[in-house]
Amino acid sequence: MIEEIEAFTSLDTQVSGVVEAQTFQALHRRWGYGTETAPVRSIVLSSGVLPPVPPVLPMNLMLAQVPFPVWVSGDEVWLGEALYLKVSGRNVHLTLGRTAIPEEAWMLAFTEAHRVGGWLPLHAAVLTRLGQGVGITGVSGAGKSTAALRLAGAGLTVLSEDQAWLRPEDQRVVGFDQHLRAFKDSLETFAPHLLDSVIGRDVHGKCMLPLTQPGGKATLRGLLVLGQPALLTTAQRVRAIWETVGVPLTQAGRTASALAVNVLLSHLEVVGTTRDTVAFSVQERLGVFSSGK
Amino acid sequence: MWQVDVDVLVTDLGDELVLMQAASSQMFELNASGRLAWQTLPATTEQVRAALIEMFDIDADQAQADAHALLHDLAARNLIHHR
Repeated sequence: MIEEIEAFTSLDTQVSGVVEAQTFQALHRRWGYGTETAPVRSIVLSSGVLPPVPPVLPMNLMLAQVPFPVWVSGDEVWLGEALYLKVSGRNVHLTLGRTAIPEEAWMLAFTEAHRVGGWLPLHAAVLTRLGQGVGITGVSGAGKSTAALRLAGAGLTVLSEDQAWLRPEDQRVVGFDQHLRAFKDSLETFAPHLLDSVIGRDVHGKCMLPLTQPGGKATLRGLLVLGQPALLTTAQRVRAIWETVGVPLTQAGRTASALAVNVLLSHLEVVGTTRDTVAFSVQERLGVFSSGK
Repeated sequence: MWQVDVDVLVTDLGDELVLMQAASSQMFELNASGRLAWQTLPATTEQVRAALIEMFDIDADQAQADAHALLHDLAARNLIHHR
């Protein structure tokens, strides 16, 4: 059943169009977290025949452990036969094809749409206190989630476990994760009082805790990079930021992200940290040790 | 004429440039003279040579050698192309 959908806000973007009600509801649940201000851009959805793919070799991305062909040409992206994205200025039009759209394809499409608007996807755990935030990033398995768990146990708020969006101009960060995930032994070691909060397990067997704040907002004061030396050169900071935000697909996304990274470099503290020092570093930056003085 | 590859992401640090090849996520750093040469593009080798002479007050032979080496190094890493 196709229905005219009501619009919802995702960051600074109004999402509207004509799609199945079930799809709309899922998108709204996943992406419906706005900023404090009115939308200034649009993502318009429609169903129909996708334009022919360009005469270039596709990238084969692994989506849900299945190779998925992605064609990119300028400001157009074809996600298999499922989804077609076209950038127009800072706005995006998404055409839904006739095949099922994997969750990861939606993720790629919305991520690109928000990159075009100058937002950076922050693959980081973000901890907050009194409206201020610090991000913890690093390669997969570096210890972001465990650090977030320890800090949650110490009383800080977990804005996100791995997915937040950052607006570089004012360092506004918005959390998009629904849960903090941790293995049971980590939970028992670092935050046993949270064991009663577990609401289920994910596909990897990790306990899911409703500790994150989807849609929560803060001002990001620093980014700590696990596994890096404390003092980073400027070039190392650039590398760390790009590794945290990932590479855009479209030309418009690349132009906007390159500008955003340049802006971020001048505002944001980016330093290295270790598993042993990360908790202290976050608490120090969020003023935990100076409160009450 | 040397031209920048469209897949290169540029971060300008003021006194140097950090380049990232989007497809491979490989990163490269250019010093002040490399940054100047990059900002001259699209350009011929001669135009890059002239820019180096003007900015760094080096002799013509040195500038020619520097421009040639730099541009071919960038091309070998698919950061620029000659068309």
